[in-house]
Amino acid sequence: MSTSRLDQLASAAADELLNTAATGTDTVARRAELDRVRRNRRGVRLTAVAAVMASVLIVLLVEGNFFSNSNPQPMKPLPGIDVGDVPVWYDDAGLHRGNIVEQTPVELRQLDGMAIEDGALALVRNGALYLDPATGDVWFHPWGGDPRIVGQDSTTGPSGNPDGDIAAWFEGGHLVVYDTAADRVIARELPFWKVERAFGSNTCHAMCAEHAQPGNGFLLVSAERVIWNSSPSGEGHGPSNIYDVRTGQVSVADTKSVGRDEAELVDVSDDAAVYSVQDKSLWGWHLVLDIPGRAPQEYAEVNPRSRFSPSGNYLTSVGARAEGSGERVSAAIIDTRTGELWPVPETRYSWSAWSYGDIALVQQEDELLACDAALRTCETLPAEPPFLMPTN
Amino acid sequence: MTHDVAQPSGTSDGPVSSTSEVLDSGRDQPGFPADRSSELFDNFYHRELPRLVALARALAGPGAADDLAQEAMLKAYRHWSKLLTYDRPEAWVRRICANLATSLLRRRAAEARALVRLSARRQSVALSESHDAFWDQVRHLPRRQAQSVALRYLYDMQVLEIAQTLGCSEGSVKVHLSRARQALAAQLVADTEGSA
Repeated sequence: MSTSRLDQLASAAADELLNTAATGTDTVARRAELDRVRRNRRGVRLTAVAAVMASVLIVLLVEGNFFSNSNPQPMKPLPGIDVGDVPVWYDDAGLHRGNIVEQTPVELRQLDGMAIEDGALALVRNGALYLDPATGDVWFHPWGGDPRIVGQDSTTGPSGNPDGDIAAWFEGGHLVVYDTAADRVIARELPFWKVERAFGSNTCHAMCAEHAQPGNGFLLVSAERVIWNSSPSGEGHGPSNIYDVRTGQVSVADTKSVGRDEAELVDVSDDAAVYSVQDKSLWGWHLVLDIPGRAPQEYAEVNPRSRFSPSGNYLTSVGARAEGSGERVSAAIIDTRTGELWPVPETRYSWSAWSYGDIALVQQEDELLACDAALRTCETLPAEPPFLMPTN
Repeated sequence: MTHDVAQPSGTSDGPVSSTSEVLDSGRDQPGFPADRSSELFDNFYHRELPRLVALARALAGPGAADDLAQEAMLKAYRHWSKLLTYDRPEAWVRRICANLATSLLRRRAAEARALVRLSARRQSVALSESHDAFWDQVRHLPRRQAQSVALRYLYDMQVLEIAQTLGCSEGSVKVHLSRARQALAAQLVADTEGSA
């Protein structure tokens, strides 16, 4: 079939579709509008013919292999593959996973100048979930596959488990737990009235994920449990809530194990937890790492707002004392198995997050670093600010 | 995405009828008196809905088209105060509708809702066989290709407008349209030969 015939068919099919859409609507304005469209179409048909000729040229170029040479496309992996330990972030170029950039159907950031006002990006083993801040839609984007809307009207945006298939988000007061591999919602619960939902859209989101607040309020997402910090006043931390996926029961996390009256649960990984506890220091709070079978370990030199890596082997935070400066400014990574603290070798003001594996993302001003916590090395990523980091 | 702050649209003189069966009414919008804001939305709704239904039908099939278009309008209503500040709020709702229509999960949900209400609603008007086959082929295209084709033919959009509506570059729209044309032409030839 020639492209001109294709154009004719397409226009006729569009005409008929517009007619059927107008059936049952008898307003004069609607008819007039449709007529206007049709007149426009006739007016642009000459342009369409030119476009058809251009298309024929493109076809020739494609067949001559010129097109693909001038626009190299990376080999697409099978949809939903495990992409390995690569840094993931979003910026103007799209959704990055290592050296591959995928386009998203929606803009993930709601910007105020260069500042990200709203947006959430979460990882699961075979893809990413993100919030469309313009609509509240939650999208699942399988790596190498077609993104699809899986939730709506979410203020919090999603969270996920980079080592698993489960994601969670709030739709209004409902907690939704979603299995990305099975493509089905496994729980949709309305927690009882005492339980506050996670942080809303007006609070610090993925951009300030791990510096001031733990992302959008979610601490742990798995097939067994979902744990989130609520924010009754819209700011800061409220109680930490635990939803048992199997029983549907919701409980409030107990912080007594750390042995302090004033303790907030900051993050959870399996049975390990990290708390923010009150002290008499200048900051007023410091970090306590609680690993089963060991005495709680205190870190007075780092900001308690910290996050476990997906494996739980590392903890990222900010505030390691820059040598000689007396200021707490750089990113810090703690090996939770040995308790050793590694100040990331930069001393600029930092935000940090985790990607897959033990790859930490560290933003220092306009630069984004990927730091391998195991190897203790960092490299600068080709990221253009403002970039959105994962909020798992 | 086009988020330009400019004179809001939605001021045409089309007839105003209540949309309250679909939407909650009376929500005040910042910067506009409630009744004025409501009137602007009513006009917007009546002006955009028919082609939005056509767009949804092109991309998702007849069963779910009405629901998807209404869902896009519902989102527009919920974000109306924000849309009023946009230069082209219609581009926003078209993009939302196109995204909804090409999202498999949402399409299934809308189809299920449509089935439940089928007996109480008017039947979709059938398309002629060749046109139905054409849109069926469009629906089998990759998401962005299908959206580009639907916007091109249903809205008479040029490449720039499609790019602005979908929030992508002109270059990628050209590629999508080109590949879509190739795929459609090849498939329609195959169908013709198969039926000969």
